[in-house]
Amino acid sequence: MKVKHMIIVPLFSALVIIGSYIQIPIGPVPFTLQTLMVVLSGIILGSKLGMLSQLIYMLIGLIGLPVFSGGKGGFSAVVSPTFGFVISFILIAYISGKIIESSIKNLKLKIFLASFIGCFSSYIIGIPYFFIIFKYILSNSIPFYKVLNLTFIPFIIGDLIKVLVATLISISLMSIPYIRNFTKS
Amino acid sequence: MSTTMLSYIKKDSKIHNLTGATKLIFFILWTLASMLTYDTRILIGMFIVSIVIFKISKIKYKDIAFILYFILFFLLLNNIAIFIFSPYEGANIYGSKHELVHLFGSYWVTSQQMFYQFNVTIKYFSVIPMALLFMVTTDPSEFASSLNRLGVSYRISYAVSIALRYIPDIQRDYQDISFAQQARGIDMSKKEKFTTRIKNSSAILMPLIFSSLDRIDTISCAMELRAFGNGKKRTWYNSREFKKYDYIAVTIGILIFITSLCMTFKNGSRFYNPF
Repeated sequence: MKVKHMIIVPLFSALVIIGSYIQIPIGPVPFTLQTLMVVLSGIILGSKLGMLSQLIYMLIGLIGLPVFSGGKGGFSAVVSPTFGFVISFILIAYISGKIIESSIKNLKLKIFLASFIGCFSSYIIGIPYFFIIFKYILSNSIPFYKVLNLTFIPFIIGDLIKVLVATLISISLMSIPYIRNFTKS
Repeated sequence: MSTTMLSYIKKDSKIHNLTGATKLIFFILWTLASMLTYDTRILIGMFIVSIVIFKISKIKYKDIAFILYFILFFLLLNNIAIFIFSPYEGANIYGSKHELVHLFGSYWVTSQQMFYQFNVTIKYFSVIPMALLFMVTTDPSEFASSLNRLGVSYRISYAVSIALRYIPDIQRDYQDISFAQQARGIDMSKKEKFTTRIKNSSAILMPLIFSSLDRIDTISCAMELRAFGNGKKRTWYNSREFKKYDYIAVTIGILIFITSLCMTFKNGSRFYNPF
C-alpha cells in the first residue's frame, strides 16, 4: 500500500485507542467515543483501509497492550464476553466504508446510513459472542434476554447519540474535498 | 484525561534490555497460563512473580498509577456485574453453598461465590502488571523490528509502531484543544445541559481530527523522500539480537506455562476446590 495510506491507517487505530478514554459524563452507562472513532475510520478511510486500521487496533490489544475497553489487553481478552465487540470493530469499519463507497448520490444520506448501520452492526457479532463465551467458557448459561439486557438495551440511546455525532462530524469533514479524496489519490 | 497515559519510559534495566520479541513471547505464555487456570495457588504465585519482575524493571508506581486506577475501576464493575447476573456461580462450581449475608430478594452472599470472584480478581492481578510493563519497557521502534522478526510484514509492523507513537501525540492534542475550547467558554461538565455537552464534544473532536490528519502529508512525504517502502525487506536500526537473558526469560515463560498446565489439569478440573 502507499506510504500515505500506511501513515493514516495507524492514525485511526490510535484515535480508537484515545476514544476509549474520552468519556462524556451521562448517566450510569459508560459513554466513550470509541465506537464513534471506528465509524469515522470507515467513513474517511473507506472499507479496506478502515478495516485494516481496526485490525491493527486489535493486534495491538491482543499482543498485550491495555487498549481494550477498561484497560484490558492480551490474548486472554479473547475469552472475555465483550471481545466480540472488538471483533465487530472490523465489521463496523468495513460496512461504513462500503456504504460510503456505494453509488448513492446524496452525501448526507449516505453518511447517516453509514453511521447508523455501521454502529448497530456491532451487535451482529458482539451479542452472539457474549452469549457463547458465557455458555461455554464461563460455564454460565444465562438466558438470551439477560444477554440483551447486558449488551444491547442500556446502550441503544448512547449509540443513537453517537450516530448523530458521527453523522454531523462526518458531514462537515467529507464536505472538504481534501479529506473526501484523501485515500483516493 | 488529566494524567499522562502509558508510553515508553526509557530506563536501563534487565527488562528494558530484553528484545521486544522476547517480551511478546513471554507475555503470551503468561497470559495463556493465567487464562487457562482457576487454581488459586497458581494465580497467587503468578501475582507475586509479576510484582518481583515489576521491581526489576525500575518503573515507578506513579508512572502507571492513572491507568491502573482505570483498570481497577472496570474490574470493580466487572465483579458487580458477575454477582448481579450469576450470584450462585461459585456454589455451582464448588458443589456446596454456605450462605453468609442476605442482601435482598433472592440474593445471598455465599463463601463459594466470594472465592470464585476472588479467583477472577486475582486472575486480573496476575496479568495487569505484566501488561503495563510490556508497554512502558518496550521501545516502539524496537518493537516493530521484533514483530518483523516474528514474520509480520514490515509495513504492518511499522504501522503498529506508528500507532503506538501517535497515542501520546493525539492525547496531548486532545488536552490542548480541550483547554483552548474551555478557555473560550465550552463547558463539558455536568453543569451544562446534555444536548449542549454533545454539541460541545464536536467542538473538540473536529480540531482533534483535523490536527491529526494535518500531519499525514508531512509524515508520508518525509518517509517517501527517505525511500521507505521501496523494497521487499528492510534493515532495522533498533534491531536487537537475542542474548543470554532473552533465552532465560523465554525458558522461564515456558516453564511457568507448563507448570500451570500440569497443576491445573492433574486434578481433572481447572478449579482448586477448598470446600
